Amino acid sequence: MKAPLSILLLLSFSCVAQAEEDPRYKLTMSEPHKIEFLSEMRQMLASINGILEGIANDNREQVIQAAKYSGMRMARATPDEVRKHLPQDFQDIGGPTHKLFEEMAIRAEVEELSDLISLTADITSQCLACHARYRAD
Amino acid sequence: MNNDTFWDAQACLEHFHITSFQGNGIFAVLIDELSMIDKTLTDAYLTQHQDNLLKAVRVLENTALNMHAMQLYRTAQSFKAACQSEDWFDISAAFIGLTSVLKETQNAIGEFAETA
Repeated sequence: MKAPLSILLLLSFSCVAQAEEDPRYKLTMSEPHKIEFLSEMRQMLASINGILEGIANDNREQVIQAAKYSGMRMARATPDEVRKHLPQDFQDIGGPTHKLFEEMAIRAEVEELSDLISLTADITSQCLACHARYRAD
Repeated sequence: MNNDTFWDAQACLEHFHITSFQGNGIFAVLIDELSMIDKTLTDAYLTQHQDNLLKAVRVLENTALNMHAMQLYRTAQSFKAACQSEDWFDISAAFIGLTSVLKETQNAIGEFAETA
């Protein structure tokens, strides 16, 4: 049975209304820092993509390199100016996430790549937890 | 033992290409990094999960080497050998030694940060 047009319109308006009331905590930072911050987010997504491709293609080196990009070196490279504006709760998710990437790079040297799928899921769970709580728009 | 025994600050900062750009907060990041590994190791130890202990200690070995925390690196190697012996008393003794060196290394970084 087709839904009447008025109901469909009502539903689409309610979706828009929900989107306007984003309940997530807004991270406050300057425009240059936001650009840097979002660039790191995209790099982390690229790392996950690289890890999955590496696992799928049985390419150990690809997994290692992809993971290293978002490991602790990314956390170390974050300027104090950015770090001091990030809430402790955010850092409590971010730090362990970088550590999981680091762990991935090390474990990928010797372990069966298929065994690393669950570690990849651990990383994406961290990503989800953070995106559910924070926004940087 | 002095701080240099636990952590070669200059070598570490050079290895990680750390500049004043990152600021003094970098030392807290290094200490946190060791705390996270300590937590993973402790969780694995408390559950007597040998495989997880070996995974965690491999991460620690790598981190200690990169941080130029050579006392920690050597102690991690000894711990790994103890883990492979499969004698839980050996593992426990080595674990106590390892966590002690971990704390000393964190203290050394913290003390350096205060004077940096």
